[in-house]
Amino acid sequence: MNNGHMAEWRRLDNAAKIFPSATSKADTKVFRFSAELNEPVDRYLLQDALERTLEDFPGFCCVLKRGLFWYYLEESAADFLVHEEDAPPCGILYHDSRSPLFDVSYYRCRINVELYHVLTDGAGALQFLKALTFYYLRAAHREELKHCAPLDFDASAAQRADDSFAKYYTGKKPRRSRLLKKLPPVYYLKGPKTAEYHLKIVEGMVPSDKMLACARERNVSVTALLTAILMRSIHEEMGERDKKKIVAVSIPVNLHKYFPSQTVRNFFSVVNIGYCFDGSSDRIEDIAVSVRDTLAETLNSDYLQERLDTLAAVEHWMIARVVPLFIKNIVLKRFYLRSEREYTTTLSNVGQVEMPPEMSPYIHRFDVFNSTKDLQACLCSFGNRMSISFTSQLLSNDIERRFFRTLTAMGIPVELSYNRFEGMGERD
Amino acid sequence: MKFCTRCGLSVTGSGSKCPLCQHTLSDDGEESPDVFPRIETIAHTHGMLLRCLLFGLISVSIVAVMLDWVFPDKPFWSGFAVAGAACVWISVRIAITGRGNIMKKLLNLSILISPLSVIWDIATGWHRWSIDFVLPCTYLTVMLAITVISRITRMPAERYLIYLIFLLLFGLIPAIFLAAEWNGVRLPSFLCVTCSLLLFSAHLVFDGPKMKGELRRRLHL
Repeated sequence: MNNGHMAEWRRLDNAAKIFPSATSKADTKVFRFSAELNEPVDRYLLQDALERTLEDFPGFCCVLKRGLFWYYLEESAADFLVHEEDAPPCGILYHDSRSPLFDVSYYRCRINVELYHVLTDGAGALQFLKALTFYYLRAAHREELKHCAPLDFDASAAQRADDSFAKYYTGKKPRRSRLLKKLPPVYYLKGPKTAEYHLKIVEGMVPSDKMLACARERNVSVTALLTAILMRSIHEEMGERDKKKIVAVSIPVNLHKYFPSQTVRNFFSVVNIGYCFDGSSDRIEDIAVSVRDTLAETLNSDYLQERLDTLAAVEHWMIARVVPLFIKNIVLKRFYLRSEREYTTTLSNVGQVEMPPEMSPYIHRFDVFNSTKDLQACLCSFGNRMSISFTSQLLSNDIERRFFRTLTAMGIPVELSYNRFEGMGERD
Repeated sequence: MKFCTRCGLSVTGSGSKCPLCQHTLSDDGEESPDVFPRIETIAHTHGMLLRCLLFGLISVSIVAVMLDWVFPDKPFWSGFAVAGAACVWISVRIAITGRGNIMKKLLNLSILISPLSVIWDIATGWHRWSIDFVLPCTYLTVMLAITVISRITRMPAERYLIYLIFLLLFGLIPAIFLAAEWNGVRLPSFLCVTCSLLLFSAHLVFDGPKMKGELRRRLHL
């Protein structure tokens, strides 16, 4: 009989409950946030920085375990080691009840943080990477950065470990109308895929000011403009028979902006923006205006509260709670696959990354990648550099080509980076 | 830095063709390192041993059925050969799943062995060797193994307690055989039940809060 306390545990939040069931080698539910520095990364300094960061993020040192009714997260005392990047991006992290749920690696000037979506969402991951980069740079440039103010999270440890879905669930019966309405047929991306579900990355770096100017010229936001360009790029690649279907882009929404939450756990929602090209204009400007209007309609507290209540209501339904986990896994997976049928692709805008100004000269850019079964776009900007990264399992780069060519045709200079591995066709 | 004249964009990295249109890139001679490492795809060769075993078992089954068909003088013995091969395969599969979580494997194996041995016993004439020896001895061995391994490796409670709780509950099953007087030989069942009750009380007395904590997290709604 061992002495000592048992490890702490906590329930999964509402969004995280579906991820273990939906995880597979093809769809790992892992996302990567990277910081590219202006200098090569030192392994030992990075390890020290990680240990320091984990003191601020104790909730990340945990493993995922199975209960009879639900999965849960349990504190883990294992050591977390940084390593040189040696695997394709966003590979599976959760293998069993001992797998760490995040991974920190480096390659040349880049620091990569990969996280399993059960732990946190984009907002939490960004905080983690910012803290890691902060501690790394402060150790690497001790003299120059000794007056740099520490990162201020402005929240207690309890606030940061909060389950905000539970906190903001009102228990009101949601109206069925808006959320469960039947959608017109949606177009899905198809085509030959990479071997072993490897993710292909094509990333364009553009100047934020020019991108913003371009969006302002058209009286829309950058997200709306890029969503419109993505929609048209997909539309141009569609077969004639599919052209009646709508192109729907799912856009994750950071709920921290709409609810006063400080949690670093999952707290996001998604809105699906659809556009039917059949009988409508295919000019970028017109699509962007339609996207802008739909976003304005859905991005408000009422709509997001209604969506939160709908999703949380399922979890609070007693009959659903007492179903054993192995049956829940099957049901949740089906539920997830059905929700996936509502959109063509995803575009996730992480927004502007803020770091202490003294550190800016040492950082080149930040970027974000997400695992996907077909194609996904992520945006993120730092200073005047905006990264538009596409991750994809589709061998063809036609959508990315049309997307970036549209940008260059608008007069925006693009600097392209991409990853290379065997079995991805004639890309070299 | 390299440049694609067709797409009108610059491309970093050591590649010589545009990743978007495969057009040859023009190069200004300035070196630009790869942003991402080049990952060599590892062909999945592991599992070869398992495949060989599976093929061996299938071959044995096919040959047995064919021989039975050609020489039909003996009773239907190939059924046993096929069932035996299937049991070997299931046991091996169970033993290798769980990625090194030895406690889970031990539990899974003891769950598997119970019905299989009873079915074999019934199929071979119900000599009661399954409930006399196999079941009580398996449970006894596994519960002692979990106790010893967890003590030696100083495993934290949350890594083994749930498996032990299951095993201790299984350890009470032979009490049913004893009560119903199904056994020919009663000693192994007595030993198993006694040991299970002793270990259960020991854990309850010394590790009660941990057991409660483990059950609470595993059973939370």
